[in-house]
Amino acid sequence: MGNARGSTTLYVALLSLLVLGGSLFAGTGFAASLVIWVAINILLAASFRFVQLIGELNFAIAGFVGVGAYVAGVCTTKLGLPFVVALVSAALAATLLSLIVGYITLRTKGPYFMLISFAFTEVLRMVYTQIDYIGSNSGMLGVFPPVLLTDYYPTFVVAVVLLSLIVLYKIEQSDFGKVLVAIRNNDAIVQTVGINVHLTKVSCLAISSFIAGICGALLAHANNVISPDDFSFLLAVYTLAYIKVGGESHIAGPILGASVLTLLAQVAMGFGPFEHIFYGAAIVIAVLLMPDGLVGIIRKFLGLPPKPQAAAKH
Amino acid sequence: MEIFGQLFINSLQISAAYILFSLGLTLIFGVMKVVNFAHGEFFGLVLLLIAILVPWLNSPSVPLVVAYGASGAVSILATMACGWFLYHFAFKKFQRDMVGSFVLSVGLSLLIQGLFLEFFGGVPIKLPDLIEGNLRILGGAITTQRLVLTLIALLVAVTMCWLIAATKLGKSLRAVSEDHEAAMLQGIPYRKTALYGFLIATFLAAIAGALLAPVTVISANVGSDFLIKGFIAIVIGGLGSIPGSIIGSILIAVIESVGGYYFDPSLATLAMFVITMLVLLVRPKGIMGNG
Amino acid sequence: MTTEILLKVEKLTRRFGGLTAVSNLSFDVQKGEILGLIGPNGAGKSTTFNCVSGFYPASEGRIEFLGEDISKMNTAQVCHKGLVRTFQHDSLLTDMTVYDNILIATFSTISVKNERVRRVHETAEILNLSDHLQEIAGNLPHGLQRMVSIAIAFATRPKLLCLDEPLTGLNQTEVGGALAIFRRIRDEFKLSILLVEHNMKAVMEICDRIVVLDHGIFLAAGSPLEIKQNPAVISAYLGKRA
Repeated sequence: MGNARGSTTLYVALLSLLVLGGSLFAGTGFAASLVIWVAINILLAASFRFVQLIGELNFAIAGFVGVGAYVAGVCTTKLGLPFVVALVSAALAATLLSLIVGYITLRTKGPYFMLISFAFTEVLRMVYTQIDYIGSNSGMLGVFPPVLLTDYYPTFVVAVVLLSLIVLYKIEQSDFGKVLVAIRNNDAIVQTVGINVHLTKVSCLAISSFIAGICGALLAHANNVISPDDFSFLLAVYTLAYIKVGGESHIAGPILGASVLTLLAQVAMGFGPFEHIFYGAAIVIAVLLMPDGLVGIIRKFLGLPPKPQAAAKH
Repeated sequence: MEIFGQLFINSLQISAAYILFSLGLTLIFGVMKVVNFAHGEFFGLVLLLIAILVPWLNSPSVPLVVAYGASGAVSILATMACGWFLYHFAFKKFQRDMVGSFVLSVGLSLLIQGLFLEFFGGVPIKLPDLIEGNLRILGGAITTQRLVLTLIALLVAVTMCWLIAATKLGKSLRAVSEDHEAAMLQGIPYRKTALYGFLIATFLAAIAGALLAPVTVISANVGSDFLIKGFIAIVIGGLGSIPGSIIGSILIAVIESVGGYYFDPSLATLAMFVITMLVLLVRPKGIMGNG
Repeated sequence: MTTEILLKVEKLTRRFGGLTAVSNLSFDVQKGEILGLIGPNGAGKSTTFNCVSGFYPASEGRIEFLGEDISKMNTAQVCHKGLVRTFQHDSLLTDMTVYDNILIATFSTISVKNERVRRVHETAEILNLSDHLQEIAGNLPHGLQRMVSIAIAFATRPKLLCLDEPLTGLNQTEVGGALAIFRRIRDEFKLSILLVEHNMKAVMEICDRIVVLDHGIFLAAGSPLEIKQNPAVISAYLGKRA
């Protein structure tokens, strides 16, 4: 077991360095944007998946990404704060909001939590349209990364995403991660042996939201323009597509799903209605035909046993 | 006083459509325990088909009434066929899986709306009025056709409620809704009942579409606006409860007409979402929800 | 010599809407004893169990553990006080290994990783699970699954172990093995056990005292011999069987 772990870590480290190195050549044109999109989508999917460890679908992710984006945007354009401060503030703001919202809403489960999260995202989006300070419906303009990073923004984004993925993975593999999965499997038992299940769930959401806030900040500085409609339920649905196609049972799922779908969407010339058709079809096909996504197909290919998917008890 | 009359008339109108819509949604949830996020697309499909067929049929030799009638009938039948198709190839596998069916229906909704946009284009269409004229009732103004359509919608809703209360199928639907295992033990065919429930719901959404065709501005995503409101209505009223869906629809309609009149329509929608969250937190079963 | 009272249930009443499941029930569990809670179906045993372990609150009455009022506490808080329960159904983490099942139970009482590992192995050894630690709990045969669910509760090293029908579905050999384990747990670890069970033979064999419920009210309490001969108890059971 030790050797296998060791060599996996080596492979992952090498691959990361390769990806990081490759991103240096992305330049500043379309390839650069593509790299950034894929990277951020991967992190979004990983953040969403993290909450699936406790068995919940966090459709509120779009709301937390939005908070991160707007806070970062305000820091950069209105307050003139350094980029790093914007990034950290975005993550902290999203986390703080998630602690409050999570404490209240995680008392519910499954479909109810799902519907509340959906409603919450829409409420936030509508709230943004009412606030003139952040541009209401027209949104915020001029959110640019610092001059030093302009040519290397793709590399920066990839580095942040890689680091975040490693952190999420480490947490998932830790004892805390085991408790999360145990909660998904049977939270009554976990409560019975003395663990405060509610606070644990809130912590899980907080970690996911921290990452979502980072995604928002990265997004804002990549697109340079942010508006309320960027953070609607649709964002959560696309994220869901990445996970369903990639597979939920391993962190490689979000990576595969987001990469494949984002790249395929580009190949298929996505904008306008075709994008909807593409992502909608992806979800439907994945749900009906590939319950464990691409990860599941790879497992079968490699002859590995299917990972027992701890279904949530609702 | 006139304002109240107007608001009352507006609410009545709006609620008629929402009632038909949410009756179907709550029926599907009750019988199959499925959260069908794509329900709005049945409504949308009918509207879009009518939008294409009416101008095509309407000519000096084919009076408008006939054009509307024929288009309506064809569209409803086509939509029912789609409903049957979706039930068999998609939703049947996700019965009693609220989360799985939600995810599937979200994907379907996105896919179907994309197809609508692709085939129909982005330009909204307003069809010619079926009945001319205006009326004043209780101090509020309303076009004659809106009144007629509203009354028909309410009639359909009442008929449906009677059907569910009095007929054998209706009783099966209610039994399965309350306790599907007990219902099966009593010999009620679950599969068939679920299919009929799904088809009835599809029919209700389709009729709502047909009735609203003359008065709505038709675009590719008209279904999703209705869907969201329909969802809010059944969550507030109680998922699976028929009287709940009616109460919820009326509440939504009132908030929409009153809110839209005194404030911004988007604020009214905001209020609805906030109320939804509160209901889900405090009384997840809704106003009329059973245990 | 006074026996120390571990758990004191006073005038416990629990209603569900219009139905009163348990009414005015009082009994106690002494330190070092194995107390059986029995009664015909619908007697209110599970309800009592659930109230005592904090699964839901009582409608009326008071529950005291080691002199402290635990009536309003939830299962996690009650666990910290030293009272843990098992479940009759859905009693373990089916998709995780036996090792992880027991490990989860050690988090609230141990903070040092090495000691947790030691506790897991020690617990597994007592429950005869040492050979199965890396297997997925849900794939185990029923008898072993029961042992896992007991192991989970026992891993918290409670003062009072509440077992909810632990012997259901076990064959005679397995029952004998389980009873031996209960005795060993009680003797070596100075635990007390509150046992809800339907298996009368086992109850008579292992329990020091027995409390009998019927229709939610207290019927009798005493030693196994006394209970066996109690006419009210006999008629309660016979009446049900008819």
